[in-house]
Amino acid sequence: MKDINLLHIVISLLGIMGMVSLNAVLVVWLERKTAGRMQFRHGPMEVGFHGILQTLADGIKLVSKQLVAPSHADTALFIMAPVVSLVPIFVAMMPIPFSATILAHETDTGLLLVIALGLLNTLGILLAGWGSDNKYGLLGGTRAVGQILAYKIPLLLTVLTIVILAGSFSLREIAMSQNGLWNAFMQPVAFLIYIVCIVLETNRSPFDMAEAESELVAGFHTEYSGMAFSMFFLAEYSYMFVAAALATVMFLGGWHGPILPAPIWFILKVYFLLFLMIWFRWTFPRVRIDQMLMMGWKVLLPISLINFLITAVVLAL
Amino acid sequence: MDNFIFKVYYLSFAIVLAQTVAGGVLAVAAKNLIHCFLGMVVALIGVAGLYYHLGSPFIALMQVMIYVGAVCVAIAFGLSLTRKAGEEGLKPLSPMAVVPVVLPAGMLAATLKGLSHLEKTGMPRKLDESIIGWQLLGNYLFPFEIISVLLTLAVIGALSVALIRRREKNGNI
Amino acid sequence: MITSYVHEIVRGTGSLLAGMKVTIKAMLSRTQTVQWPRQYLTLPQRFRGHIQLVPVESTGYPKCFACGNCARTCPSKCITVKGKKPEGAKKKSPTTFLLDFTKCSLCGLCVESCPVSALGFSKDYAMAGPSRQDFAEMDLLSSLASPFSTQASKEKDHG
Repeated sequence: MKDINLLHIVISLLGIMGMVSLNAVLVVWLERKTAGRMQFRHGPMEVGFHGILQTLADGIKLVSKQLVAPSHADTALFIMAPVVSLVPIFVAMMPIPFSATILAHETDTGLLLVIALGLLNTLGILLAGWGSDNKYGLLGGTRAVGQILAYKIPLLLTVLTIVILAGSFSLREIAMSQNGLWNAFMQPVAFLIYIVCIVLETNRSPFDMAEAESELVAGFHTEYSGMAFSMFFLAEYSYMFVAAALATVMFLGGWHGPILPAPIWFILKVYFLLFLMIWFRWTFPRVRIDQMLMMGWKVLLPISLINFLITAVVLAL
Repeated sequence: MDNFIFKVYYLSFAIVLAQTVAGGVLAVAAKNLIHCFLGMVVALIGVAGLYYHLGSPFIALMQVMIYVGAVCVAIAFGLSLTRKAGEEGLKPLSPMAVVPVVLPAGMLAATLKGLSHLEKTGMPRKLDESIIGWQLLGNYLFPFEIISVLLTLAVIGALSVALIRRREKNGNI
Repeated sequence: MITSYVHEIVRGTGSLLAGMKVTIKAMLSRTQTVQWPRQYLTLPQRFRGHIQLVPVESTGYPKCFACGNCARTCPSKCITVKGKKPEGAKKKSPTTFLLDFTKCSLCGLCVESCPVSALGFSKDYAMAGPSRQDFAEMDLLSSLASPFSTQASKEKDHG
């Protein structure tokens, strides 16, 4: 019990809260800029330098708006859902190592912690869909649940591949083990599968069946407004950050890199992956849910299984 | 300072315990199916918290991952195929509900009484997680393999049940 | 079977990469939109905005002699013309030329039917106003010089 320092935890939680908000502001801006440029537009230009404060202005607008619950909604679930979606982030950010020394809380099981808490996002989406008494919301929620079944097993298998390579569940040690060669080059197949899985996990296009603007209005957050909506928004972008940070640790060598200091390398790699996800979103059309399930069960699962098997055999020899 | 940390520890243990019990009661007593589901999730997360407090974060995370992440999601998938019940509130408790409360309580009391004369030998110490793996693949290899066979059988059984249904349906058409 | 499975995956990945190449190229190329109130595009020669009266170059008076052809041709009946002879002139000159832009469909028949090419299209597209009335009676004469001895003649006209 003695090694848990309360002050340390409080300070790192405050740091994580700042990180989450700053990250959302930046990534939303990056997303809107990228979307604009990919469609030959400028994107936001008015608030701040090249619109960099646009997200802040939007956030202030959202916070000042009223939260309206539908009259037949299950109010307890309706209010709870965004909280369930957002709060695990604060814990999941704790074991992420920005460098060998900068991390909020070192645990032996950091990787498991992040993955286990990442699952709670789906729970939040399901509760939101169910609680808001809206058919689009319900459809979005159940789609999110159907989706999780298809990607979770390949995701865990690729993670296991990395774990047996590094011999540890600790994110710091996994990153330290790739001082020379990054896992992305040693395990290209696992890396590709993991990238597909994190796009699935964060419910982003081309796998954004849970919100699917063109079919389900806004899916699970159709009925949400104001602060509750912005909490979902924050959660989405924070999960993106966590998933990208995990990919950086597992495949891109964490903070390792020449010249620049370690945390900067880490942030650069994370934002490169975030940009990759944004790039996907503005390139690929949304897949149908049966196509997604087909891909999950018939492509991702067998390939990740074979990859895991080969890695295990090679390591054993 | 030490004293303070222990107070915080006991307080958080009490909170997690209360959460587990409340979730369990909600899971049993709620009329609305989704509330039952939610109660179960809360109780399972509470159980994970208990594991964590007892000094095993690995088991706690596995609990969250397997029970909340996989089992509950599978149940939620099943729930999404049901009709939405608009009922609210709690079910009236039947007198038979006393049995599952009294029985484990009695067993727990008996166990504690039986153990009470034993000496405390020290705090639980944290083991390296890899020992679990070595044990599973060493001493307990046979039960471990039996479990995998059981799971394979369950998958095959589920498949065959689903396929028979489908074949019957196709035959009727 | 296994080869077609692998082939499908490779082909799919290739097509995804091709798509990503298209979007990144688009991202790195120049934007097609301009920051409007600060930047203006040059409009094409034959841009059709709302109609406007063409002045006589030497005097700045409208070319229009209030024959009313445009008002009669207009399918939406959105032009109102009234005119009379200014003192000492041979032809009439419009005293009122109102366009109801809420009805106008920019068909251009008025411009074509004008015998002296006194009507043309303006290049004004940045039109916004606080009320409907601003466009229900647009005074096209206001931008031109008037051949009438201003105040007195206008008052007489309205009376």
